[in-house]
Amino acid sequence: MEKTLKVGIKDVSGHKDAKLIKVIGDLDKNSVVILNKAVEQDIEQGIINLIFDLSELDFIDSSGNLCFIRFYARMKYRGGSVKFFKINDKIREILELVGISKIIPSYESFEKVLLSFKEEKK
Amino acid sequence: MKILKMEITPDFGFVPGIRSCIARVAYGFGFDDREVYQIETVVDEVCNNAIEHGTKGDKKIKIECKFSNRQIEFIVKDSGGKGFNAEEIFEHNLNLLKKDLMGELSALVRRGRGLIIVQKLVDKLNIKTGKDGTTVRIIKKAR
Amino acid sequence: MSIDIQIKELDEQPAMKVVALKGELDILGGKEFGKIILPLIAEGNFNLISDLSQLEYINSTGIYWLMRCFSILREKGKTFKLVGIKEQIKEVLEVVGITKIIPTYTTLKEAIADRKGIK
Repeated sequence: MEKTLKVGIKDVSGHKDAKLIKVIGDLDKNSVVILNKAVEQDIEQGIINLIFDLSELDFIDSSGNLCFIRFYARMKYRGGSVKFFKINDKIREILELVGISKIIPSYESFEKVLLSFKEEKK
Repeated sequence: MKILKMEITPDFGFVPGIRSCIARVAYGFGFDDREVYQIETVVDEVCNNAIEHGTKGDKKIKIECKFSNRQIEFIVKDSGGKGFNAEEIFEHNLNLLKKDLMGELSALVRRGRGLIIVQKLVDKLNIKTGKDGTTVRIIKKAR
Repeated sequence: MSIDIQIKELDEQPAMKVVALKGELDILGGKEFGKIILPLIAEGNFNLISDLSQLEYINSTGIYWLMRCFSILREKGKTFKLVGIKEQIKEVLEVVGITKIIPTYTTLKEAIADRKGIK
């Protein structure tokens, strides 16, 4: 069975307009369609904050990067955000090379992400 | 020098298997974990580009690896005449989004393009492209 | 109408590449050239020599792309040189004044040997 991409989406208590999305496996040219499909319905229903748990994201290529950039553009357009947490060590170098970390903030934990929302409200 | 050759129909479904295969083989030639992972990324990006360009008629995409101790030479050849147009589609889609985001994002999109990432992860990158297709040749050495 | 582009790395320190152009650097060729070369030089860290010995035709759009290479590289503190300009396109380049801005050489060897501007 080919190792592809699994996506799990959870609500975020206290934040009706946010979703917690866990991506597991490889986010590459073949599998971006899986992530896009999984998130699309929530986006259409008005979600503006996407929080990605990257602890089990083993591989990301330029298609995967572009996928995140597109989410970022769409959420920003709505006045929302995209945030990462627990970036897997394997993909850290690639994300830094691309410079995504300069635009999409990343945090050590989910709790820290929630804290950032509180900070932003001030 | 040890040689690994593959010929494939241009199909993205091959890429995960090919990049894993070449990465695993690279372990046996003196590359460490991080370098093997970089090789996997490079193989992925270059193969995806080649498949995007496509091939003419019955021709296949040709992939060749030459392994020697602490060095990999990786060559991918397509015969597609499409050039690098596929990336225009990405740009076009981004252009549909709000203009004021374009500045910060277009730099990011450019930096994130396959060959840019590849250039940063290898020691040598040669590209030959024209109406007969594109050949990409990279050399990566273990530190 | 059509252009072949070859980018090769030289065994030089600091890093240096040669981009050899074959065919025509016009609207379509120029666009292709720009699409491939500009991101590489913007994100890369090398000096560049453009080998024009097999370039048959260039017009103002083509010259525009060469100038863009030059300005991006100059901003990065890198050099850009032209080599092997054919007789038939020499006049166009001289009339536009490009040869006064971008250093030109007859052979690749000369271009590599001139270390001016290379840190």
